Amino acid sequence: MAVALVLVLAFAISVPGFAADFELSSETTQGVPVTFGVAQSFLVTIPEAVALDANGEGSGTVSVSDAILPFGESLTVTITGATNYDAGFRLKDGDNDSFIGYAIKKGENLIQKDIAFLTVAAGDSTGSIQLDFAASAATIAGQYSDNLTFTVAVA
Amino acid sequence: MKKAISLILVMLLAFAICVPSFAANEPGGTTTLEYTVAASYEITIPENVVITEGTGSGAVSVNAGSLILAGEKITFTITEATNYDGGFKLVNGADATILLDYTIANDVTPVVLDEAFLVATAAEANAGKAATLTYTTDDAVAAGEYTDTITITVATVDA
Repeated sequence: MAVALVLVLAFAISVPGFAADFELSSETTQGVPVTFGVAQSFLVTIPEAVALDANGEGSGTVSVSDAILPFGESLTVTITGATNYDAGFRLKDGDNDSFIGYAIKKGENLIQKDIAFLTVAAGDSTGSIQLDFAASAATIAGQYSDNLTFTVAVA
Repeated sequence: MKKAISLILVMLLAFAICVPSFAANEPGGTTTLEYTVAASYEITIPENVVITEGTGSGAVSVNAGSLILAGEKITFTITEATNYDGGFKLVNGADATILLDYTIANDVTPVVLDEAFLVATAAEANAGKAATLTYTTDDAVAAGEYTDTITITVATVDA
């Protein structure tokens, strides 16, 4: 078995040499490119659900860990979709047409749809943002919800 | 030993071959945001109404800021009157057999027992809505102090 494996290995290594055409008496060198690529990889954690309390407030953390990014690129996380969005984030009351506006903040900064709120540059392996949600005052009681879509991109 | 070295070399080669397999990567995820707004409302019902010279009034209201479930409404109904007998009646304090009829109106609409006289949708309740009830007695046949007690029931029901 050992012999067979070594033969296979020797065959594989010798493959690049077939194309060269050597003269018997000359001394020839042949460069052998050696590459070692590292695939980009990362782990992004997005909360499955965020429940707002009786005051209409809640928070959730979006985090990036174990990021290995190509040189010169960065990873971004963006809210690209919100089910009830209409010039602003809105919660909807079940099948009723009742809406409550809400804001998403990162600290004191408002988070906008389609604008990245978390960026991790190549060389950094982690990043984390706490998103704070705050609903406007309700005028109608009910069970409100919205669904946010987060998009992670490396560019 | 040879077997071990061979295996390691083959593994290294296999690893080297796998490296260039970069892939486009645009993953994402979703978050469901949930918010429950509990129903709550504040109402005002006068503790008592004094009728002078045959008329009196009192305002009943659901106050601004009240929260009613969407698809529901809040109703105000007189469901009981102590001396009711086919109509609202005041009873003489000195002689319970002496009764004095009176009517209740919401603006110009007569208020009837067991029929809602004030209804507010969720939006109306949040804005606040009121009804001023006017109490009007018939002419009395005996002097004295007359009283009655009415019960106003407030309920939220399907709109």
